[in-house]
Amino acid sequence: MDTVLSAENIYKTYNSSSGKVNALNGVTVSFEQGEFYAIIGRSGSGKSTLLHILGGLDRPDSGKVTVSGSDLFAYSDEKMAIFRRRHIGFVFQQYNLLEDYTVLNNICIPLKLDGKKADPDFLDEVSGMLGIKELLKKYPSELSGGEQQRVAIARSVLAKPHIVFADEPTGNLDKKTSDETMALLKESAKRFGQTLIVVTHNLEIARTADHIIQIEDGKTV
Amino acid sequence: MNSELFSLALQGSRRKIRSSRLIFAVLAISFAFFIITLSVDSSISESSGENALNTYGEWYGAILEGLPEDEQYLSEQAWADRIGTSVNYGEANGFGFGVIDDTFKDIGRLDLKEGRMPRALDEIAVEANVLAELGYRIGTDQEIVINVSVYAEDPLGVNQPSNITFEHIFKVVGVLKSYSKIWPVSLQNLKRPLNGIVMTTATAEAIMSTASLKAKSTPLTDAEGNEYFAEPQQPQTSYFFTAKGDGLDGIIHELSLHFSKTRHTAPLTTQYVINSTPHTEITRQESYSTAYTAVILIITVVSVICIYVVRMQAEARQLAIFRGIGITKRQLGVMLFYETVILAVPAAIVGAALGIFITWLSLRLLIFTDVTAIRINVPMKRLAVASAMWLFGVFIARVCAFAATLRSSLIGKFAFDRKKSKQSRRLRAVMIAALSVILCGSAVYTVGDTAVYLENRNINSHNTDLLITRRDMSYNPREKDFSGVGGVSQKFIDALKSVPGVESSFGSENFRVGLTFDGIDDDRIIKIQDPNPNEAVYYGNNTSVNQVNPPFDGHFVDMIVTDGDVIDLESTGVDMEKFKSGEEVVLGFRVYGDGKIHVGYTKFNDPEVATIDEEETVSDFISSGGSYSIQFVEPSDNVVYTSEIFDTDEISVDVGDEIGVTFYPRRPIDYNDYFMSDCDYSDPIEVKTKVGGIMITDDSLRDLFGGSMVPIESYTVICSKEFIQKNLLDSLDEDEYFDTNNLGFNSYWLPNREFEYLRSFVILDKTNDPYAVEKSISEVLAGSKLKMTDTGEYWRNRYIDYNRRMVFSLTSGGAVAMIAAIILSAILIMEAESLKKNSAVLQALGMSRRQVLLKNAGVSVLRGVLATAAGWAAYLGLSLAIIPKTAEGSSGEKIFVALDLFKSYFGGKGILIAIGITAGCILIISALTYAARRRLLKGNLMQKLRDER
Repeated sequence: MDTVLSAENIYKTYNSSSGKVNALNGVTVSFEQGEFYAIIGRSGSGKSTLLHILGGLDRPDSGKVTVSGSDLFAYSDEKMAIFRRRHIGFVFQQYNLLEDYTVLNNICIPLKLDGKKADPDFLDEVSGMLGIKELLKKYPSELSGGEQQRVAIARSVLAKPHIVFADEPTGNLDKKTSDETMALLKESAKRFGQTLIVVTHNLEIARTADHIIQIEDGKTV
Repeated sequence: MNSELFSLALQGSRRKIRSSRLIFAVLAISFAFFIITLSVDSSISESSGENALNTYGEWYGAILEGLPEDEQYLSEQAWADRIGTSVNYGEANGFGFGVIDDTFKDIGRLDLKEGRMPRALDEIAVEANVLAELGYRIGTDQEIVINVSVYAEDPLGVNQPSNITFEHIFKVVGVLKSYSKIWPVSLQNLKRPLNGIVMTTATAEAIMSTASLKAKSTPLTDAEGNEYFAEPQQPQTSYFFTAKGDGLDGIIHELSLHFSKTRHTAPLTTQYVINSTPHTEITRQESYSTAYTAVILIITVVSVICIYVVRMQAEARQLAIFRGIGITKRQLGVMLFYETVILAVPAAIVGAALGIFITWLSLRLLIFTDVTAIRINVPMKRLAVASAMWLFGVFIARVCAFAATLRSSLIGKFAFDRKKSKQSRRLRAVMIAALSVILCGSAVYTVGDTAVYLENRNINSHNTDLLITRRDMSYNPREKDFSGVGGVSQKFIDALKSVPGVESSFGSENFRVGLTFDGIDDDRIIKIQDPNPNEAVYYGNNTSVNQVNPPFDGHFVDMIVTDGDVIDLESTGVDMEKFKSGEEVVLGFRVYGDGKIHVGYTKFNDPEVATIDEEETVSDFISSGGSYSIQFVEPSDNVVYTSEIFDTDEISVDVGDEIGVTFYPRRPIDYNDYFMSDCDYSDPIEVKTKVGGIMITDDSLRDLFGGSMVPIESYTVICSKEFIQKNLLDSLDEDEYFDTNNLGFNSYWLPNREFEYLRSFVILDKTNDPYAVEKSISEVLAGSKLKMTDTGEYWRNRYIDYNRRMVFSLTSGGAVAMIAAIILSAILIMEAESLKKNSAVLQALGMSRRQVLLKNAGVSVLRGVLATAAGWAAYLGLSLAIIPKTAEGSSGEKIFVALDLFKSYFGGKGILIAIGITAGCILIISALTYAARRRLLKGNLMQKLRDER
């Protein structure tokens, strides 16, 4: 298996009202192509911070993140943005859909930003698999939480990224919807050969992962 | 254009237009007021320009009474466009007569009011004024007799022959628009008057032939006693031209050059004129409109920033998501620009339509006169520049609002952090305060400024337009030939009042009378002028001083005789019945711009009076810091006219006091001796009367009575004609005649002892074209011994000017206030939305609905009071900062100073207006705040508690 993503010695400190918080304390991890990783840990352990740094949403204080052999943080902001839309998909606990756009536009935006149009067959396949075909013309505010998360998953895979990050993707969903969502995430990752990295505190979900990375006090254990 | 980004912006905006009605409304209204400010200014300027061109002609310059080669010179100049000629042959009653060509008629915009131009012998087209002054009805199809005067010249250059004058019968075929006394070509530039009477060349030549024959009837004598004859002067041609191009300044230089080559006598400059009045009017740029549009632009930009910042929580999240999924900053900038265009362009279209409609409506409603026929004009060039700035401003506002967002972290829930939320709240509070101040400040300015112009407009609307006087005032008292005496009777004045378009008509007479008052306090100003100290100086053969006062002791003041309808005498407290019956009079005191009474008196360096130092002269007086003016009397070492300044509360006379008014009757010795340098005086007649009221008046009273025509000095006795009839005329013997005027000017005789006014003034409704009314009045005058002179051009132009300024002030200042109110309202609504949760918490804790309403009412009123106070402070601060520096004691033009403005222009009303504006501002701000906060009680309590904003 090829390593698609690795992080070496990542440190990250935040300033908060109660003083400095060491979110990450020299984390070193690597991720293989097509595998499903679950990052677990208690609240405040640094797992979301790690995910954001791995996904290029945040920068570490020190350390190195390598994607397919390239140093992610050597990229300019411009290049980083392009990297994100081409190689990375995100699924968030809050769904983070764009309220002013239809479902169809939401899932196509990463492609549009690249000046591309969605492959109709692939769009059909993804929306069919995620069960959102009937929702394409609706706006996010008209959807339930589960539906919104399925749209978020569709958006994360339509540009065929190598890696999909999911930050507590089921945190706002009930058990049934949560199971369905995770099943869809895993299925789509498997079908499209994507590396799936999920941050969760749900051990049940973590147990279904190929690999579990546990973070405590900003370190992997 | 990046089509995908545009498509994304478009799709997002479709949804946003629904959710961004507020911004859309702000942008649309902002643009509407942009259009209104620019269009109103442009429309009014263009209308004023057109009005000026119609009044003064569109010719650019003229060579007056030129040489034949001048026409050739003009035709060879690249800058000269059309050249019109006016040939003068002579004059009649102060109007020129002669021939004008079609180009002159066109570039002078000399429309015919009726009829046609002359084509046959003895046909003429005349100005309405000519007919009115000659006592004919204004209209065509009538034969009139005109006393024509042809200028004569002495072929030997020995004598100065009189004009050759004779009567000629003409047929009036057309009435021309008045121009000859209006155009900026005065006798200073022109030896002969402009042609108010236009005829064919054949008619003019026929008059010249008659003049040649007439000249032969009056021989002149040379030094050796030989007889010879004067000859008519050759006609004089003036060339009027329009000019091409923009660089017209050089024309004056080129004309000067031409004159220096072709003329050999000075002064050269008086022989050409530039028609600067209309061209200055046309090219005048309204700097106010630029300031107003700048203010509107600033308010718009700041408001858009504010609205976006307040909406940042929602918008920032969306932008952060975009960035999270890979949009670059450049793409984001482009998308924001597209979004701005997509939102702003339709808003601008809606705003433009709204703006043009409101402009049309405002101008139609506010400028309702024929005189100021308005042309709606949208200045496309200025608008394009302003629109580009507006669009750019809106885009920059949006970018500014999101500059912070672009730097924000992309992690987590993309929630708006507390710090930014606090900044947003602060910004919102600052905006609310700033907009409230702008709203109140602009409301104060707009109401005050508009009211000043309105007041001035209305004052001018009541100024006189026409003067009716006796046409022929010749009489011979020694021969008891009074066929030419008398004035304008009350009956005639009443007849004028019934003419449609006449607002008012009133008689006017002024005397010089003596005034005595037992309660004179030397320390107070009723002491008036020094008594006549020296008859020899006042009166006698010295014509330089003989027009001051009659040769009697007394305090000489002016007297106005009026029927009381045109002056607001009632406010003086006088019983109008007693006034009209002649039982009481009103004492008028004239105040100057500083609100004080300036009392003039004359000092004579006479050894017997010795009122000034022997060595003191005018120069000494000035150098010692005094101010002086010379009235009637030329300054000399012997006579100094000076003044003292008093407050109005220093007047020593009170209502109810008895005063003595003395008339000084006299009889001229020589026939037609208007100046009465030699006359007999009868015994003075003193009349005791009661002061029924005291009037403090400014120049408006003088303006009402024809400006300098009726001298209104520091003191004026205002009485009714019954006062004169009862106290003066009725006391005469049956065969006694009487001169009513002691100044020596405008004397007339009342042999039949029935009072008649020396003159009558007519005030027209200035919203109408005066021609139709003047025509009707001329029909009333026809056959009488009265003539009509149009003196109202100045007042009508002032009326138009003040009307224009009033409309501009109202619309532009109003535009700023309106946009501030609308944006303020929008931000207050947003503020209320953000307060919903807090309010819900208070309600959940037990605050009743009534308590919430009371709390909101309290906050609203407090805000109203604070904002209004700040608005006044801002307005006054700004006013004082830009007040033009004026000399001490001079009134100056304090356009922006509210307090002075209210005090000077409105007097007692000023306080009420200021209170009204203040109350209005408090009410508006309070109402807007309260209306916005009523939303706090709307909606489900639990939903509001869950609100995460």
